[in-house]
Amino acid sequence: MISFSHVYKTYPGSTHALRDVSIEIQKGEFLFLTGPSGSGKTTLFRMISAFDKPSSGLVKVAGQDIGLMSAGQVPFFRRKIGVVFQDFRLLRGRTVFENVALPLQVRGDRPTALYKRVAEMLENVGLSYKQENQIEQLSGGEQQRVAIARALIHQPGVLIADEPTGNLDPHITEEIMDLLDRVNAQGTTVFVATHDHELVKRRARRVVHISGGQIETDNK
Amino acid sequence: MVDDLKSFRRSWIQHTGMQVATLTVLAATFSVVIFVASFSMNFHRFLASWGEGTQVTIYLRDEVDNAAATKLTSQLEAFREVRSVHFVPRETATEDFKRQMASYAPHLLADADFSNPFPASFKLQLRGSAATPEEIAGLEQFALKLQTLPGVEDVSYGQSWVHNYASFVATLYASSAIMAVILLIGSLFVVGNSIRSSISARRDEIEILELVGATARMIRRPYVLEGFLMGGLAVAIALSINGALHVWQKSVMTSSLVLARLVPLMSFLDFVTICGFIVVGSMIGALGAWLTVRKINDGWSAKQSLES
Repeated sequence: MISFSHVYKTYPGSTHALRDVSIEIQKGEFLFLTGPSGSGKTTLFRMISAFDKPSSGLVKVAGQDIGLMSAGQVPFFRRKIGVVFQDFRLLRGRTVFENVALPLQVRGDRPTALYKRVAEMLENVGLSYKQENQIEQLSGGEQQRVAIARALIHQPGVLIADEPTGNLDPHITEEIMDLLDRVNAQGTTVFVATHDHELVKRRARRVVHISGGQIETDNK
Repeated sequence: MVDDLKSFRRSWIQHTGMQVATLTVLAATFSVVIFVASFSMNFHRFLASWGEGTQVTIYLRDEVDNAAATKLTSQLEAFREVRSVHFVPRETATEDFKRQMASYAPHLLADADFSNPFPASFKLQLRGSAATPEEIAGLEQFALKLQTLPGVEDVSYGQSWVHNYASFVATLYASSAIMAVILLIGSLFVVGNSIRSSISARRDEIEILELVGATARMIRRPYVLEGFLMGGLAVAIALSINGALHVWQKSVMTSSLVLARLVPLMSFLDFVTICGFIVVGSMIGALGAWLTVRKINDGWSAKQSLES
């Protein structure tokens, strides 16, 4: 599903963000990516979501070579993946419903199908009763659930989550991780970057540790 | 489209001050352009009224007798440019001269030895006016044609005045056009800067749209529509300002004895021109916005955001 083969990423000024990274993630897998700040986690995620290309090596996601992708192909590729961030990145001044519906609107879905699908998704994340609320009226945990609903509404094959629980208290963190587990149980590949070692230990999943742009351990 | 209009509304609500400032500058710019257009149109009418009934004098050779003059009269009357033909024989020209000079040289009227230096002539009253460079060029061509008629010595239509007048009119139109073009280019930058601020303020929104797979075209569209609507709205305001100014100018001119006769010639822009201005304003707004947002590429803002 996701494959990195001898990937290097060097930024101007000879900053080596990734060095000889090779990793294989199978369809339906749940994987944690751990590592200190500046270790290369964000660079790795940026490549998976086609915001960056490798300096050398091969990155393939859902069968597509990121390095060979043209600018025109990128938006259509992004419709196959879901991305969740620590700071939620939701549209302020819009309702929960409007935020979740956004990927389907972008895809050009018909309104009837869109309403049905958004209603189902909000039911899944337990936010049906807040669908008309503005984003500003929600708690942090609720906002992250909206972000996850938005990332999953178009049924992507891969969900990448960059510190999805970084701003949440422990109780909400567990709720969010349970939600990601359920998503993974339905066949979606889930790739989560986190600093929270306790969380990683509790979940007992595959863990890849990255440091200095290199993969140090992989408990595959 | 509905979403794009909602986006425009949101932009107005969230950045009211900036939008009002942009609209004010744009409306002021378009007001000047519309004023120049309206002024040029009315000025052209004034010039046309002054240039109406252009007169041409044809001086004949001494050997042209009455029979030849009669034949020439028929030839001249056949020209569609000619409204009326008046023949002035040599004797009449002399008498006219003596009468005009009587107050300065009274003895001339009684001078039997006064030799007649004046040629016979035709005074032609032409149709149309000589207000535009094209009409003046047409007058020159017609004068050359008259010059080739048999018995014609010289043709006079106040060449020196007409040439000065033509260069004045041409300069006026050229400077008006240059000024309008400069202002319209300026308005592109005004719209562009407004859209740039709008993009900057809505960077998060653009980044989110990129994340969910919106194409560059989808992301650009609301901004181009915003520019289009701003341009159209600014022109509508500018037209209203100029309309009010026109009414005021007419009332001021009506009360002036010298200018009152020009009032019937004055009019505001016609419906088609008004529509044309609104379309041009909207297109300039859209173009200014497009020139700014075309720099948004896939991954552009999100990449910056991720780097920060």
